[in-house]
Amino acid sequence: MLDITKRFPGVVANDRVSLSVRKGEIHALLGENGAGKTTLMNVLYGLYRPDAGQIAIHGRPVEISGPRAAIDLGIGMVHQHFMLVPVLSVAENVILGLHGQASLLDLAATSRRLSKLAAQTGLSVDPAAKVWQLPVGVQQRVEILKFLFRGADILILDEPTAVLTPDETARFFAVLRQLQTRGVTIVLITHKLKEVMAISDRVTVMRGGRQVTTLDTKGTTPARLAQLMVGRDVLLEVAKRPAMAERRPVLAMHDLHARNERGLMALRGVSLTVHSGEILGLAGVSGNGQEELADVLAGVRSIEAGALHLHGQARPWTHPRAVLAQGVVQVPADRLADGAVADFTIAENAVLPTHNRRPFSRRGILNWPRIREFGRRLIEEYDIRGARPDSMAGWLSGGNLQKLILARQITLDPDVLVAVQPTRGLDVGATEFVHRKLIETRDAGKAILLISTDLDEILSLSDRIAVIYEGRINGELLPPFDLDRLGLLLAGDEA
Amino acid sequence: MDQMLTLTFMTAMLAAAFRFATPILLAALGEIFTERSGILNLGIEGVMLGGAFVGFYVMYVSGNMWLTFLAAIFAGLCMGGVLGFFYITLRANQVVVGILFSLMMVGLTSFLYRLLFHETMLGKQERLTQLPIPGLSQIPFLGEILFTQSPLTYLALLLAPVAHFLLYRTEFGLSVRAVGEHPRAADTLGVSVTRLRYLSVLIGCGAAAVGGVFFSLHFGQFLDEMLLGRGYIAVAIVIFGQWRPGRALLGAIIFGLVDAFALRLQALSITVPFQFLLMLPYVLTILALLISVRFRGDVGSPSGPHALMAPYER
Repeated sequence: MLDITKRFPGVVANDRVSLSVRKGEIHALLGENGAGKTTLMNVLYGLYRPDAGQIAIHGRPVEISGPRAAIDLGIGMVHQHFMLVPVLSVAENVILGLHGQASLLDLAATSRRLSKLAAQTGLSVDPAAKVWQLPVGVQQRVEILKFLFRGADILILDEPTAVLTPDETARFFAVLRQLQTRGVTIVLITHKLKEVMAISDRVTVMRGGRQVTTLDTKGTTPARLAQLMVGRDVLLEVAKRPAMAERRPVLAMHDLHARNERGLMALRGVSLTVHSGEILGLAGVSGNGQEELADVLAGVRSIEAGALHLHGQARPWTHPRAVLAQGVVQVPADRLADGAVADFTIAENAVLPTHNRRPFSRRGILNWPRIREFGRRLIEEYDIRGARPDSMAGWLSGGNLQKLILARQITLDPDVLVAVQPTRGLDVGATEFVHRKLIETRDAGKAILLISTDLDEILSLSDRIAVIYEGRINGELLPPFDLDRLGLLLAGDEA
Repeated sequence: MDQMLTLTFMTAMLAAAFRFATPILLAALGEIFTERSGILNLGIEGVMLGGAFVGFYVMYVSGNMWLTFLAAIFAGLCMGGVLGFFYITLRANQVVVGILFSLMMVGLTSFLYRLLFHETMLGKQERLTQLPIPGLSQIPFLGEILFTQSPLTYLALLLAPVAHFLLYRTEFGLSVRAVGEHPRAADTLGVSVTRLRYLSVLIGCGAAAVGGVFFSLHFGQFLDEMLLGRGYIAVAIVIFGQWRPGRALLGAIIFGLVDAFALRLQALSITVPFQFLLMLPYVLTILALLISVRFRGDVGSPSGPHALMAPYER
């Protein structure tokens, strides 16, 4: 791929990018969210037409007019969000689009060939199973098989490990190596340094829509790659001053009980106090009641028993708007489901909690200049990249979307900020940004409850750690944190 | 009430049920393809009316049954092309376009009727006649119900298994289903979403136009209000049938049965006001819809194919 340029309205996603992949190698395409990796690969797969540049396969210049042309050239692409039809069977998904529209389906023969291919490659799967019944790891195998079945010898994998557990990832890498021995060339899109080092032969780094460099993996280090990726030295430790000496209790939870979706008691007596000027980290293995507690604090889940106190007074906690109004604000775990409306513009998302107030509206009439102006302000102050007030929030990369949500919630000037998994799925640069903002907010005297399953995050940010286990607070730790004791608490041992 | 229980009465009513089911079944089978590809075509009522009108006119001018059918199908494809352009190319709101098209067709057909015939009501024209199938029509009871029908009824009944085969046993059917569930997945495998959706809309409109012809040929006249919402009933039958041809066949027959039953009851001078009897098929349709939501077919969500009404943009 030579000098590929791809523009979207208002953004240059790829700026004269060149990428050369050798036959039979595993080539990592490394970069932060929004660096243009996926766009580049969508160009290669024919989903986007490049505005400029050339593509050559096996030395021959080619014109890739669409996915069909890419498939005919032996290219297959496994997207981050799988391109499988859930209600169809594995065999049906594989055979889709394979022959002419007029042909009859021969599912039996397809299934036989598929099973054989699966056995050869170690990607075992039941051809008759409906895709929605399969775990994501198996769905991923179906995606790969789909292209091997078509005789693809170049596979593009977009963030393939994002949906896998560490154990599954290890097995997945073994499969990739096996494919490599069969002569398959693999392009791996990722932002995880560990994966680059573990699996790739060479690595191309992208930043801000441009290609930075291409290196042999053996001749480089994770630190060097990180630097190239973000364009500056990454702070490995979060720089922060000790918490303020003078702290007042702001939000107090007393013996909270709440049920989960299935009607089972998920919170069984949570008592916690968050003080002004501190970050209280709530650690725990996922599924121990964190989601339910976050819902309760947002006012979207009712409590069965217990009480919530704010500034020492018991408050009703039944309506999200009332909760917001009393200064308790959340950065939710699921950014697209709970944090923002994908089909709204950035400006509209920026005023979601405040659109009914001055200056954004007066007597029910929205004041658009003010709303856009506010959107623009957040974009500037929080460095939301590739965005204008009128662009759709759904177009933002994960990190930039999180910046938008964080910007909006902090600008509400809350007394309590509840941050749930605030850096999940974010790259190094965005993670660092979010962490810095959380500490700034703490230093401004706010009370912060950080609910996270990422222990590194909890340890580097928290002034105090509480551990949740099976819906109860299992213990609290003060710095310097005792890692052994933390481990015991996480595992459920009473301390 | 005794008259109701005689064999003659029952046979006649069941035969009528299949007759009434015919246009709805034709339209519903076509609409299954349209909806399976992700397009909700509420313009189907207008397409049926257009088919009825064109059929009536061509029959009036030519007197040729075959020519009439071909003309109606051609008209259906033309209307499908227009609707498809709005639904697929312009990505317009499908509900709004569909309803407006149906309303427009009421005006357009009655306008053209007056323009072409210079009168408000013509006398009755040649009608669709029954075509008893030799041998089979002699079977007692069944012969009269199933095998003494018009050619269109045979066609509709035959098309149900054909539609099933097309949808589940061919690459075309698989592509239609994939495009309606997850268009992007189909696109990434080189299946043209636009082309398949156009084809599906054309199939739906062609079938609906033939269903419409049934009305003008059956009654031997054309009235702009003659459909009585049968196009929308066809859409309801598709939902009741969970987007599957076999169950749509069942739904159409049940509807035809209630329709026939309501008509007979009126003739029997029962003390219920006839308006209530006229309501019966529609009430039944609503009830059937409520019940059918409980069943889960092979579509992505209880409200239909996952990408139903979602325009596709790469």
